Amino acid sequence: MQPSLSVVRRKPKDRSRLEGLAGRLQLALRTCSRGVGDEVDSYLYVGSGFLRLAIEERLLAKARQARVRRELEAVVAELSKAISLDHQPFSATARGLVVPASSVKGNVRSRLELSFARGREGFRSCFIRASGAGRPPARGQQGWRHYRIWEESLREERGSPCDCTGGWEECEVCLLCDLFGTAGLQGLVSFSDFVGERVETERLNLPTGEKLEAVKPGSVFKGSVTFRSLEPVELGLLLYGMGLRDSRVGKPVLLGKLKYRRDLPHVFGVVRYELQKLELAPFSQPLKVDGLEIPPGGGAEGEVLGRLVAGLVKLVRTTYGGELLDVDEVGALEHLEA
Amino acid sequence: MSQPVPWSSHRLLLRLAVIEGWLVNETPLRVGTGREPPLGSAVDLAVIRIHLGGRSVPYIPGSSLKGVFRSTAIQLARAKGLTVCSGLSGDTCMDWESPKYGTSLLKFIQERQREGDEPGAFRVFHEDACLLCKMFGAPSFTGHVEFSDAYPLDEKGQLLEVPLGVRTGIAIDRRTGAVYRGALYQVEFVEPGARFKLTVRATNLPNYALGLLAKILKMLHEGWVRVGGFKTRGFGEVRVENLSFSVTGGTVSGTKLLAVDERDVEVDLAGLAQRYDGWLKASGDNAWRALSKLEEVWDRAALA
Ligand SMILES: [Zn+2]
Ligand SMILES: [Zn+2]
Ligand SMILES: [Zn+2]
Repeated sequence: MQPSLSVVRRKPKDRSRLEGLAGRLQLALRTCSRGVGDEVDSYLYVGSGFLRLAIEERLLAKARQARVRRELEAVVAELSKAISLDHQPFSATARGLVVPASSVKGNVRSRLELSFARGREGFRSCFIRASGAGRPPARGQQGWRHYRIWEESLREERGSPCDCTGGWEECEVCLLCDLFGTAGLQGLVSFSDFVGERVETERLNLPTGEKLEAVKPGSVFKGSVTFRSLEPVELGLLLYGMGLRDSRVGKPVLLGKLKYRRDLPHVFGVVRYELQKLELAPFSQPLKVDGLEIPPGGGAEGEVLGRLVAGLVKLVRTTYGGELLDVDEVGALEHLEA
Repeated sequence: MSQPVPWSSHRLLLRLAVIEGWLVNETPLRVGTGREPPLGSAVDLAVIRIHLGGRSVPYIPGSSLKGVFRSTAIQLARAKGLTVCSGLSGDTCMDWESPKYGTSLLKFIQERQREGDEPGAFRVFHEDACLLCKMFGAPSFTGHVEFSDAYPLDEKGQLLEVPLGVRTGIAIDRRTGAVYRGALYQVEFVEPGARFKLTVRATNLPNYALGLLAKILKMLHEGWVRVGGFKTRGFGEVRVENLSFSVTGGTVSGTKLLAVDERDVEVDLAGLAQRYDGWLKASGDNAWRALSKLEEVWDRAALA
């Protein structure tokens, strides 16, 4: 194996065993708002994957009234010119607007993947989804801001992602594939949808021609992350991936569509994760960190939770040292634009 | 109290326990028609449906519920120090080469059966197969727990509406920060709030084994265990509503569930369950309390 492709891999944990920490994190995801002391007012857009079309009612009525083929063809011809994309809806379920679990998971996971620079033995993590490393994009090219922000971990190729479809026996995975899963391997960390709790939307017409139904600054979504078979340092990594450092409230991170654009009338995608509660499952090991101990079935909130976060993140830092980058995405982006 | 015929035998009905309720999904739910395709493949994943009352309706097959219970039971049993098999075909207690018999347990038992020694065959199975093979079944052996298909039915057996949604999945290319080409999937799901009728029937299970089922049911209810696909992406969290627990048979005496084997412990459901028509039945919160009494038996039982 070429050294430039080296990813540190090991046997995944046995999924048929309950060992280590198991529990649930209750979280809020907040779009940043000056009103609550953030440095920026930010919108958020996470699409549903569906397009919403606008068709003039006049034409629909005409189509309904068409009696012969020629009339219908005339309406169709007119329609094709009159259909336009309406404001694209924000992702939703029957329970209202949601930031889907898959988006939150992808957000946390990719931040962690990108936060690992090469260590002595190689990269702690593969890239689960990545195109090959080509020439770094020049300023203004597609993806240039992303590249500049994460340059330190993007310079090198990491090879193919981990894969367990060939069977359990031969399967070896990186640290993050063990936590979040990969083909043939169920993750140990499960995300819920983050459901809108105090959410206002606004229909925006962007100068790019895009029309979006975006969530306004100061909106709050709530959700949870369930974990099992984690060591304290791995629980710490999960928090680190959400931008949590020394308290329950994370630093601003980027999420969703248009997060790198700073040439629009609105800022998009600057959010904070806020940890509200930690619960351990009855079948968990106790969580011991920095002189604190949470028993199985117990939990933590408020000030104790803040100390717990700080303790776990400290553990992460001492474990991974210089391999683990602490990139300030939002700051770096502003720096690029300046 | 030990039975002359082991409880794992089907020759004698020692007791029948029935757990009923509704599974209500708190989050999107997807029980699919087969294996999940590999990540990155552009496949439309439809939920599984069955023809019922002239309509095609989503449901949760009993086999998927049984799968969820067995895989959770493996974790709980191993955490307790029990040796249990994976239950996967070719990797059960029945398939393993037994040093005691010089052949697989399955072959040895089949040999006994061919010689007409049915009770002997059962004794060997009872002593050498793991608890989960006895509970959930093994090759050529029917288990003692049966999960019915869970249909969207109300209390009167009328079909309920099951609203469906479709979600599109994308992935972000780590290198470009843009949407990864080809990582798109569309998955159909049951919208949160649908209700599926749950029926679990268990025959002959000792109190500790009923307690294991009770524990898993509670884990399901509390969101530690999920149903169906896309579990790590928020799907499959269900609550159990309108729970009832009923039990009948020779090992039920008054409000007591007698011990079924020498490792079992008697449980008294006085104050939680009432008797009628030969059944001892608890409903609602009392059903949960009755189940947690059984769970305590599982927690305390020395089975390893
Ligand atoms: Zn509009
Ligand atoms: Zn990996
Ligand atoms: Zn077995």
